Amino acid sequence: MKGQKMNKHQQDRELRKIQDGDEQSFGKVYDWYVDKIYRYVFLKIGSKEKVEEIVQDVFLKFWRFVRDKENEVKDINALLYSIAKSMIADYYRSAGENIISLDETMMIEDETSEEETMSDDIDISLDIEKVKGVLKRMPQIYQDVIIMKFVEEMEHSEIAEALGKEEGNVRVLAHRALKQLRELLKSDD
Amino acid sequence: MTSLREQLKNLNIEPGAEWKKETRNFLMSEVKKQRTVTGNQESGWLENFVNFFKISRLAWRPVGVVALMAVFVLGGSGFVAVASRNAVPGDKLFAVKRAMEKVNYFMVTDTAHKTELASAVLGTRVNDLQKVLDQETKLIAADSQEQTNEESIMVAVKEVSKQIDEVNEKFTAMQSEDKESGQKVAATALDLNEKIRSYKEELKTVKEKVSDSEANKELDKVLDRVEDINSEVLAVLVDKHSKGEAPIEATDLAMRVGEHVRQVETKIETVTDTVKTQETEVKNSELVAKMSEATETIKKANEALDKNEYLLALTLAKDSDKILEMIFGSIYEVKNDEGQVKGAESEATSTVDIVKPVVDNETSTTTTKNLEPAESGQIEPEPEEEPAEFQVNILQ
Repeated sequence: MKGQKMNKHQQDRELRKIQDGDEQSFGKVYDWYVDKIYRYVFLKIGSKEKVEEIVQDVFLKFWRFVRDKENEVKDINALLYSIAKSMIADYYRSAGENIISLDETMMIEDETSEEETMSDDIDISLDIEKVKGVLKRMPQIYQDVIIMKFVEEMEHSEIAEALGKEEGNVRVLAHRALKQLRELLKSDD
Repeated sequence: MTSLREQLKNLNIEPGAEWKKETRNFLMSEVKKQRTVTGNQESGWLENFVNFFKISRLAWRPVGVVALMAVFVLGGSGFVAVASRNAVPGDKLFAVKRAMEKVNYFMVTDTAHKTELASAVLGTRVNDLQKVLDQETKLIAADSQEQTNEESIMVAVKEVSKQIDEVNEKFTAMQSEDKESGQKVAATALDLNEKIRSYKEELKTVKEKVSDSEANKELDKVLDRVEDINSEVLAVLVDKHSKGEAPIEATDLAMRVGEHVRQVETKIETVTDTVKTQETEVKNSELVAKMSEATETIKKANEALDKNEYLLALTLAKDSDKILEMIFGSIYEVKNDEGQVKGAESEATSTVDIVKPVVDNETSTTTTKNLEPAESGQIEPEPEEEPAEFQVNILQ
C-alpha cells in the first residue's frame, strides 16, 4: 500500500458514508491507512505496545471527528496524520520527555532547494533501529518530513496538507531534514 | 555506496497481521457501539425526522420533497414514516419503510449511485433479519406467553433474498450503462465486493442461530446467490484493474479472487463428501467423472491465480461451480429413478434430506445441497427436467 492513496472521488464517498454512520466505510479507511499510520507512529515512538495503542486511538478519534457534523474533512490522509501527530506530542508530554522543536522561520528563510542536486549516496547500511535512533535526535518537523516524503513517498502537496504548511516550505524542510539525517548517520558510524 | 532515499523507501515496517485483524475487529465493534449510542441519543422524533431527511438527501431536491410528501400521505403522516424506520419484515410499518427506500432510487440518476443504494439497503435487510432473530430468541428465552412466530424469520430471510436480486439488477444496469466512467464503476464494484464479504459473514452468523430448517435452507440459497453476484463483481473489478481504473493493488485483488476460488473449492470438498455418503447406486461412473472434472477445473483456477490471470481464475471457478450443479442434477435424477423422491414421502425424507449428508439439519453449518422438496401427493418429477432448484451452501 506504500505510496497508494484513495482518490478524491473515493475519499469523498467514504467520508460521506462515515458521516452517515457507515462502519463498513470506516473499515475500508482502516484497511487503506493502517500500515501508513503504523509506520509513522512506529518510527517516532519506542515502545511497540504504545505504538499499537496510539494507532488504535488514532482511528477511533478519526471516526468521532468525521461523525461530528460540525467538522469539515477534506482529506482523510491529512486528518489521520494530524491526529497521529497530536497524539504523539501528547504522549511525549505525558512521558515528560523533551521533544526537539525547530525555529522553522530561521530555517526556511532565504533557503533555496538543493534537494534535486544533492548527492544521495551513503556508505552506511540502514536498519530500522538505526533510523529510529537517529530520527529521535532530530526536530519533530524533520522527522515528519523524512517519514512522509522518504519512507511513505507522499507528494509535497500531501505533506503540506498533513502538516499544515506551504508546499514550498515542505520542499525546503525535506532537503534540510535529509541533510541532517545523513550527517547524524555519518557521525554515528 | 547506496542511495539513502532508496534505503529509507525500503525500510520494511509493517504491523503484524494478527494485531491488524484484532484491532480492526475491536474498532468495528467500538464504532458500532458508538453509532448505537448516538442513535439512541438522537431518538427524539424531531431529530429522527431531520436525520431521515438528511440521510435521504432529499431535503434540497424539490422533486424529493414532492415524493416524500406522497409517501407521507400514503403512510398517514410523516410520523408514520419516521416510525417505520425501526420496522422489520412482518411489521405493519415495514411496507412504509420499503416505500421510503424505493423513493431514494427515483432521486438518483446515475446507476453507480443506485447500486450503492441497493447494497446499503441489503445491509439494512440483513440487520432486519438479525433484529427479527433477536426478538424471537428473547421471546423463547423469556418463555413468553406471547406467541413466537417462526414465519417472521422466513419472511425476513426472503426480504434479504429479494434485495439481493435488486442489487444484482442495479449492478447489471450499471455495467451496461456506457456513460458511467470506468473509475466510478470500479470504485462501486470494490465497494460492493467489500459489502458482500461483510454481509456474508453476518448471514453466516445468523444461519448458525436459526433453528428453523426451512429458513435455514432459504439462507443457504441466499448465501449461494450472494457468492454468484460476488463472482460477477470480481470479474468487473479484474477488468477495471487491467485498465488501470480500479483503486486496488494487485495483491489485494489476488486475495479477493483467491477467497472466491477457495469458496468453490470448499464446495467441491463438501460435495465430494456428499457423493461418498450416497447410496452405491448413486455413485455411478458419470458422477465420479464429473466430480474429478470439477476438481480439475478448480485446480486450473488456482494455477491461473498463481499466474495472476484473475479473469481466467474466475471463469474456471464458475465452470467448476456449474459442474457441481450438474452433479446435483445427476443425484436428483438417480434418486428420482429410484423412486425416492415420490411426492407421497414425508418432509423428513424429501430430496433435501436425501442429498444432505449432515445428520442434524437444524444446527449444521456444513455444506449442503438443497432441492425444493416435492410437494406432498402431487410430484412425479419429469426425469429429463432439471430440478426446480438446487443450492450448495458454502459456509466454511
